[in-house]
Amino acid sequence: MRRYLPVLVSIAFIIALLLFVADYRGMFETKKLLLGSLNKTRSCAHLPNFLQGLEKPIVIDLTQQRFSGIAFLYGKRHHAFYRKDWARFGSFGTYTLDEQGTIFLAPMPFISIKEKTFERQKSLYRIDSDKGVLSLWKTLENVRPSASNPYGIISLVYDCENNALWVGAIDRSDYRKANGRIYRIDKQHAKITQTIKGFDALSLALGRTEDGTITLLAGSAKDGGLYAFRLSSDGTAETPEKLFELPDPKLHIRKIKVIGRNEIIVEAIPFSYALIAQTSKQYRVIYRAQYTPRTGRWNIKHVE
Amino acid sequence: MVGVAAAVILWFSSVSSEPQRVLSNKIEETIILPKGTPERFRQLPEVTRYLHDLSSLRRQGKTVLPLDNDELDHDGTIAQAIVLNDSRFLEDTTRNGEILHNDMMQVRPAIVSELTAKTQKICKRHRCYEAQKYNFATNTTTRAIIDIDTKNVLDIERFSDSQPDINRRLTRIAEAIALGAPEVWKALGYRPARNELSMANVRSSLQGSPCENSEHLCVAPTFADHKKARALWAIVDLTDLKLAAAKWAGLGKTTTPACIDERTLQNRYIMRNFCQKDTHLQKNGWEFIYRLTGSDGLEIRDVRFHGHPVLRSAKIVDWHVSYQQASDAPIDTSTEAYIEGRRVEFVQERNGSYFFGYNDAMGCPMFSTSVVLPFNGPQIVSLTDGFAISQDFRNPKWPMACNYRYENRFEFYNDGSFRVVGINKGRGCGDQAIYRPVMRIDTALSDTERFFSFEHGKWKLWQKEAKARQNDGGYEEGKYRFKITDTQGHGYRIEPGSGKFSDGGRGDDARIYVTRFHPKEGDKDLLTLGSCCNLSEDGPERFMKPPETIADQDIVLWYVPRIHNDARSGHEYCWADTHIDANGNVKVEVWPCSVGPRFIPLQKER
Repeated sequence: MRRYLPVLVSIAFIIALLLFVADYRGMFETKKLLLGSLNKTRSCAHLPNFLQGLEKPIVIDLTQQRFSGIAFLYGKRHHAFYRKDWARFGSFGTYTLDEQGTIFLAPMPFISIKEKTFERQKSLYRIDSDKGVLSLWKTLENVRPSASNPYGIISLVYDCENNALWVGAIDRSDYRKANGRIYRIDKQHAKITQTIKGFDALSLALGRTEDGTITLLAGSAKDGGLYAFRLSSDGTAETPEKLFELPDPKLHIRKIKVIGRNEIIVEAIPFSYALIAQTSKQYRVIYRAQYTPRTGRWNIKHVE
Repeated sequence: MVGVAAAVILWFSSVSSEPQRVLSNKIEETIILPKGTPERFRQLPEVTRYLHDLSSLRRQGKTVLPLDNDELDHDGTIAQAIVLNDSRFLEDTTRNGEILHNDMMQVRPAIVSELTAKTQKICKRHRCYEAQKYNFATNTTTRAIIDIDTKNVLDIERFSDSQPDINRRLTRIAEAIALGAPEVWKALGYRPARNELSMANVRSSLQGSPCENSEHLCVAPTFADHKKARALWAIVDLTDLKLAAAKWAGLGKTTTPACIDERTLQNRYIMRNFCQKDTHLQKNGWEFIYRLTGSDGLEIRDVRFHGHPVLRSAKIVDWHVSYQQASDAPIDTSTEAYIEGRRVEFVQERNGSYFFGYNDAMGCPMFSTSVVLPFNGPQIVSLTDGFAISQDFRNPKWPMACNYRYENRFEFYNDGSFRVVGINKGRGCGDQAIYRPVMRIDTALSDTERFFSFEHGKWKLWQKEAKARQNDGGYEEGKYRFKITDTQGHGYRIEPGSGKFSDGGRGDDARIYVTRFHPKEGDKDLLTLGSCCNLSEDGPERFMKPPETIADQDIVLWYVPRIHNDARSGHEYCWADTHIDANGNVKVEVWPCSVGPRFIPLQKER
């Protein structure tokens, strides 16, 4: 027996080595599926011309606390610039700016349901850069909010390199299933060019991977995850990949900001598809997420 | 041998991780909400002793319950004595002369890396200790650094909305509550022993407090069932000394304590059991189904008594909340206004005063237009001569100002009578509130129903859709204002609330509307109905334009009481307030107001 021991040990060693290599290769292959490093995209957002004369900084106020619709707070003392007709389409939840300074706005139901509340959740709105006139930009007839889910269009971001708006709607989802859609809308023709089904995007943002690919980032309304959709060369989105999940299951990502290489700040809120959505600042929890390419992991830290 | 060992390790590592992941995905989450009152846990020896210690402490005029000696080493005992005599450390332990509940949680050698540069210098040369106390009333942790050699407190920091690691005394109490909860025994199928319980990773459970109320101190003792790769997490609220909730879940990543806060568990439990499906109840000759709606609160449907149809549906579709204010200046209503993040409506009166307020919809906690959320699911409550089904709805921050709590309640009596009840538990934005719950009561006596009001000593049959005030006409036998029958004369007399129901109610001052049944007029979920603050309208008027014939038709009653709240000391009504209780914790005191009509069968009267 002693004679065969070195042989057995050698065989065992070789088997172990093979297993290790196989396992390592598996890890390597898994890594290849990961998004990898992420960086900021070039921002083309331009300050609307009608705000040019105001003292900086200028903050867009969608809190609905003092003003319905949209208002601009400017200067160190936060003076308010507001027009009554900016309340004509009810409350807004988020916005994006294009290179001409046009503000595109997504609606948001707010506490009390009124006769036009559901109808307003189907449309995107815009404020033109020169005169500050608020108007309806595009209505998505497929979006149908109801008493059992009062939300419709909820998120948007502008991709200036592809001249397209990415818009998230969550009206069709119920307790059991995410039936939301993300639409890619060609800005020039206001035409839907792609629909991604089955994803409830509470927030949208853009990032750029190491190989230069633009990536659509989406905070899920169903879980606390941040997902990434690579955009192919024609600007359409591929299958999503989950980057990370927030440690608190009550929270969902409402705002995403890629602040630098492999570094993202997200603002999260409790969200349950009911009108009790706690969007005000006191309920917002901010996390900083950092990606380590060596480990392929995101490290999530509570900031405030 | 190295190779063999490596092969064995690799083999087992690959085997042991995979089944856990797969199994954890397969375990279906089961949520258990406690049924009994929290008082039952006060009988546990650990809890009794703790309450006795707190009581003794207060009698001695001391403000912080110290750590027991078994948790302290020699220097720790010195450090605790120093810090408990330091006025800065103790300065948040009283409020308006009342002692707040404070416990010492940790006293241990200070870790130099966690110190400030200044204290680091001192603590490199001296023996330093770190002491932590927790203020249960304000949810604040205070940390002190003590120099044992000079007997000085070097540094004090307070962390609001922050909870420390708990001490051994509280660990034992949490274990005792988890082990002593019948809900845990039932879930496990037996009464567990202490050695089956683990309190591992307590600190992480506190990073997001798992309590319903995040301002409470909570921990999550766990019972692992390795054979089935699952664990029972018991959430224990150490502020209220009770079991808050429990959950069966797999042993996977998503079941760490931080992921099972009570509110999330309640939402899931309520959605699955009462929003996604109807529940059938049969009791004392009564039979019906009940469910939670998207915005119309708790609804009962298809109600029968000994097989005879009574109600097609009953529910409270809205609470109109308005506040009256005097004003000399005209109110600018051209733009919307918000209080506490909620849209406020203003209605100006001719006399210069104005009303402002909200419409509060109650309903499912998720996927709804509800702003006042259900807690604990519907409860069946025994009455001396019947039973009731009730649902508690609360704004998450109740009883803070501009937050509300309502109860929807349906009482069923053994004599065949029943009552639809709305209960308001404050607190609202002020003491000038007028609450108007809109009750929709769809009787099912037959397709040809008749409605009467008692006028000038006689019953008057209503021919067309109309409205009446409770207090405008007379009462038969001093209490019956209305009645509803079929064409054979079978039906109910209706007794509006007039302070005689022995529930503290001061009368309903109700408006009643009778409309012809149309499915689109509230048989399904109704969104906000009418104005919160225009007191000349309650909402159902919109279904009476133009008035339709209702005699010998299928009809619906809308009953809208009008309640004025009262915040005067000794006269409180529809009100809630907080005070510091005997243990130094914040307690809520409630003065509910109950409204709603009782329906008494005519057959019985004969």
